[in-house]
Amino acid sequence: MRDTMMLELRGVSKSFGGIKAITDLSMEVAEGEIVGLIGPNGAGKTTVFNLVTGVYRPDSGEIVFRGESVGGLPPHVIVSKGVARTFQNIRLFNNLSVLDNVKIALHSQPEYGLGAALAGLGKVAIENKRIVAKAREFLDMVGLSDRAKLRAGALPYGLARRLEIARALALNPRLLLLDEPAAGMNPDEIADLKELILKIHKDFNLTIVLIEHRMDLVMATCPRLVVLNFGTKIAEGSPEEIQTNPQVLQAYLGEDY
Amino acid sequence: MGYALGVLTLSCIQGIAALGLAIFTGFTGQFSLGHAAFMGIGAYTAALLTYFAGVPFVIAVVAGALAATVISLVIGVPTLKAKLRSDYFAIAIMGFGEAVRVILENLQITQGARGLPGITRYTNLPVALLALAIMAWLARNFILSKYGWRAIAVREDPVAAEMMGIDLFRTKLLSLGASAFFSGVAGGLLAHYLMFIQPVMFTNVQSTQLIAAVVAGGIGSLTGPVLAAAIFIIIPELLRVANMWRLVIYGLMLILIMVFRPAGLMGYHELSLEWLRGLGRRNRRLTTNA
Ligand SMILES: Nc1ncnc2c1ncn2[C@@H]1O[C@H](COP(=O)(O)OP(=O)(O)O)[C@@H](O)[C@H]1O
Ligand SMILES: [Mg+2]
Repeated sequence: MRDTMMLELRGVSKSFGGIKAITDLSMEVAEGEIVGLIGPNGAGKTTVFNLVTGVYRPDSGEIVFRGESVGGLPPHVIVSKGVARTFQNIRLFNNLSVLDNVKIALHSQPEYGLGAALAGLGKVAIENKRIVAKAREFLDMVGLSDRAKLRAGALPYGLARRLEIARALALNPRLLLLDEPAAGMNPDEIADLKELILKIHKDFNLTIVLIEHRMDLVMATCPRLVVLNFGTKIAEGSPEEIQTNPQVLQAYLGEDY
Repeated sequence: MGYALGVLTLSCIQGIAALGLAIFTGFTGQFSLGHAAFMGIGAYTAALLTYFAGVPFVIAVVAGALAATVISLVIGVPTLKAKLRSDYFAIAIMGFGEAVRVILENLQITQGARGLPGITRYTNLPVALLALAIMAWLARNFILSKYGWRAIAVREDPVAAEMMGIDLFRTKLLSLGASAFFSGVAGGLLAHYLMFIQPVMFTNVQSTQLIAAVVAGGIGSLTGPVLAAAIFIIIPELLRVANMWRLVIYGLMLILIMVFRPAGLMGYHELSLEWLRGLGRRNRRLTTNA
């Protein structure tokens, strides 16, 4: 086992009824990398995230996270091993406050048991306070501390995406999967997002896989790209290599190319 | 006077059961039309213990609540595990409620459908109030702890909750066990207040009344369901309606609450002085605008 590998997919396939979403996909992500996962709509990018996080069980093939086979494990187990993600269609706890969204991500950290919780022991309040302080640090990091008490569902699009990233970071992941984080953002917000991605990559020692259609963001953050089309990998390499790869151009521009 | 105290005592007991279901439905987002069965298990266990074995009242009530909890876990393990079908549990628990009634009606020791008379009266208004206060305090502590955060996350979005590393199954199971414990306590108190219990007291009608209290009281609130449970006991008593009209009255009250307060009496809020002041302010604002 090469201990520098964060994530490996080995011949993974997944279909839904008759639709082959992923076919015999193999890819690797080394520790510390930022890898871009790109491809046309319906190529199977989100399905890759769903397979890695245990939302779906692969039909065949192996998914290895830090040397351990995790394919088919339940999501909460995979998350506890150090994988966090954001969703293409933002899934915040909309009715709860911005702060509570991050607090929930820290749910495994308070050090008290059920008995102490029911008895309302002093240490429960102390631990909860510690968690709130920690949650505020994450909000600070993404620039949301002045909105801590706001209902998460009331956040504008760009900020909601940042809250989702804060919530994922609070899980203390080794591998972060970002599913189209720039969708719906304006150019200024995308520039900020680029800074944020590079900053958390460095500060948290993260490995990141980024699904994104905004090529400016991909080029600015990902030294290596993997291109999917119809559930298979059609190319892999640096942005420059990918931009001139005939198969990629064909996938994006159609048969007429 | 004695009659009024009796109605209040029953309101407190029903409030305890409503607190339990508030944890399961109001805070964890899981639906149940069978929680009366857990009241029944608590009532019969506690009553049989004091009646036949002379077990002290408090111990008997706790034992009844524990029995309800254990049985709720036995039901919960297979049904809550069915990950993709959250309705499994809702359907299974209805069947379970019926099964409990049939068993109680056919056991020798419970004296069947005729019911169990001659239970000593240990529950009175002070006892019921004290029990309600203790149980409300426990429920509050639970909700404010990390266990409560997990439950709320599961209610708000199970998929996102799982991605926060929350074990859906364990979270739901814990809430179920807790809620069954509350129902069991309510049952034990009820048996030792009425001095007579009968399987028919713990059927779908009572389950419906509990879920109605939680929904009308407000999802995400503990005090709301207690308040609503009391209202659902007190108003029919005030109106002195015949039994057959009670369900009609419940339905009517539910509709009125849903029309005028769609989130329930106290949806996402707790009854407090602060909240009442806020309510006053909101109403003033409404009237000045109008
Ligand atoms: N849960 C599902 N049920 C049925 N089909 C699905 C499901 N998830 C994804 N698919 C199908 O799999 C294919 C890949 O989808 P997806 O991974 O979302 O693509 P991308 O994220 O690259 O746009 C699509 O054809 C999509 O319709
Ligand atoms: Mg997608």
